[in-house]
Amino acid sequence: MKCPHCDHENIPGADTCEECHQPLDHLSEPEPGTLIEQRLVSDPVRVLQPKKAITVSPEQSVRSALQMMVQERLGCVPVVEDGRLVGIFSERDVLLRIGPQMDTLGDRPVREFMTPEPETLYMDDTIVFALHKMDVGGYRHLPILDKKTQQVAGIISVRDILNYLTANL
Amino acid sequence: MDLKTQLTSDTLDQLGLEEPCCVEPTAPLREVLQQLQQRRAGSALVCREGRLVGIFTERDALRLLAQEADLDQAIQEVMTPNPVSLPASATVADAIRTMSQGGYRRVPVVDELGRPLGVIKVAHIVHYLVDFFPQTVYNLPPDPNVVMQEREGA
Repeated sequence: MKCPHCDHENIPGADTCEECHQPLDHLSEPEPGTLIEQRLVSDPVRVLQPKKAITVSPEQSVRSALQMMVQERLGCVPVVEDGRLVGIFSERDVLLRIGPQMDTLGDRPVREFMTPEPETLYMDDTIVFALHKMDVGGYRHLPILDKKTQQVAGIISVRDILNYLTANL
Repeated sequence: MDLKTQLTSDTLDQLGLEEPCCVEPTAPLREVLQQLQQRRAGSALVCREGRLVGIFTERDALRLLAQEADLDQAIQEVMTPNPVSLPASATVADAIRTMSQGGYRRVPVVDELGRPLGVIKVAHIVHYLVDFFPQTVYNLPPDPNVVMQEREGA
């Protein structure tokens, strides 16, 4: 690492020049990444244009929620009670908690099989933050809340992020 | 190395594939659903003589359960036949493109003879991406608008 002040050759990563004691720490800062890297860490989830969420009530029967998910081609629906998000009901819950017992469990309410208190995002959170939440929790969907009203404003899926990535790569 | 280079050079066998849940084409739907439940897997690969002939995923399960389909029918009646698959030498970028274009969240990985080696899941891709941005992801600033209601501590 050459000192820009006196041209002395320092070891890489040195904070100050051994020869003239001028600061060198700014030289070893990480380089800004490529465009796609910068965009992933700076773009808010808003740019993914989150879909309007179709919600279900916790008292609705599993059977009717399932039919709605199939009709609307949804992998997951937020469960809303009195305007507040209380859970999320996904394909995964259907397979793992109901599976072949559909005939006996179909009339029970969604509340018994949903995942309560799901992780959420705001529109201004970055895409990479959403990715992190998905990775840690193993989620494929995250509901987005309105910051003021705390009501569900939309939903994003990991597919939205993949599509964004392929479009920008 | 930048993201694009890494995505187009890292191959799927480096990612650690999920052990596939393989079933026979004649297995009844009920049994497959039970097996998926037990193994907490999201998809079953349907194999005839060790070769991949179809895939059955959560999405298919959802559709069939909503229709209250007959659980005693053979899986080959309801599987997706000849699914899109990738070789182990495919890159992460190939997998992302395949998933994004086809709308898949799971893609079987097979050898030259069509024998399944594993399944690449969208969760693998998410984890891979998060690994790429350690500083940025783990050091996000706290919400600046949050005001503490009470003083911390004593």
